[in-house]
Amino acid sequence: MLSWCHRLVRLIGEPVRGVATYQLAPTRNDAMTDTRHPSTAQAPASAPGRAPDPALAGDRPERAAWRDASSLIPAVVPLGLAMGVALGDTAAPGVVAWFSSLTLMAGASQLALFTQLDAGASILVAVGVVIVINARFLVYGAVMAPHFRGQPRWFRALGAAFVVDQSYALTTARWPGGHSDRAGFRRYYLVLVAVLGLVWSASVGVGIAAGPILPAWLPLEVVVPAMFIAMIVPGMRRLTEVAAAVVGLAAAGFLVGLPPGAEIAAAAVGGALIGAWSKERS
Amino acid sequence: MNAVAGLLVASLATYAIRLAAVVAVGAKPLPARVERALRHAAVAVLASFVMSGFVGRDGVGALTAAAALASVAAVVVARLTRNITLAVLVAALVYAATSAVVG
Repeated sequence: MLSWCHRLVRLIGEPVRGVATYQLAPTRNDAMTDTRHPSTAQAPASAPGRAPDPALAGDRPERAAWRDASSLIPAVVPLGLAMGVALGDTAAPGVVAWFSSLTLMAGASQLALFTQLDAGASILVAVGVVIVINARFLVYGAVMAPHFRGQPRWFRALGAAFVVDQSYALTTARWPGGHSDRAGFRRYYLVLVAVLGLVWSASVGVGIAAGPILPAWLPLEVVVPAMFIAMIVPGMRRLTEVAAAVVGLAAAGFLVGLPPGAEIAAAAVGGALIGAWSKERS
Repeated sequence: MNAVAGLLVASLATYAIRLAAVVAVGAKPLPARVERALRHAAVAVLASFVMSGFVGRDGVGALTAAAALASVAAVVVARLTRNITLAVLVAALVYAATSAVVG
């Protein structure tokens, strides 16, 4: 068992060593610098024996990931429970509905898929709705792409599956530009998405299995919005980002009742137009 | 059967979207203007989930005064502390304390 753990850790990119002697030790290819971002520009990729990624503030990537992921647990658990209750109300078998929390990992599209099928939509239409709702991952993935560039193929293939709202927000908040240590980022990201994925799928499972006996006092109507507020507000540095957020709020507020995903698409287009129009801050 | 087939196709399509963005779009650095557009689009999308949380995708819910107050509290706490847990808890407490008073 221990040797398997060692092999897994080596695969991820970190040589096995004690905590006390911990030091990020990138391999020749395990460094990336994004000169557009000051935090990574401070750490030249070619500098031998350089300091750990400044975005981690001297912390271990795993610990930073655990801290970031656990900060979302109070919001993800009730959201997962509510999603599980809603999925349990659909005609989909419980196991299939729960499995969607592993393969889709996106509550809105999970619910949309099964409710569309329940309403008699064809698979093609239901999947089309899912694609519209999940098209936002194209935006998230493109913004996160610098973190995946130059990484091993297995990590890009695996990591892409876990590009979700929460992993996007937490990763880009910690590294607004690129990162300076590829192996460190891999460890951070894998722990982050493992914790978030486990908590999400477990919460959805409990919601499906125990839906009727869950307390009705869970203030989901405010916990879920507050989670998204807390995810985006700390990373907002420009007035144009505030404007983009207002556009997103307005899109969701005014476009209710339209086909699922319309408000997300409208928000994305509006935000993109503002971003394209905005000028680089000096 | 429909649910299984639908989930399989939807999962593959969603994975293709994610992988395409990470691998194909991110093969080389994007122009700064495009990157800014994408970042702002992501902010707008995440913000849309805030409102969707209040009113629901079908418009059944409503943005109440208590929820608005709780949101303001979440914004302030998140801005000052950058602590998601604290922001969510404070928002929940503000909501619980004010919903009976202001509706």
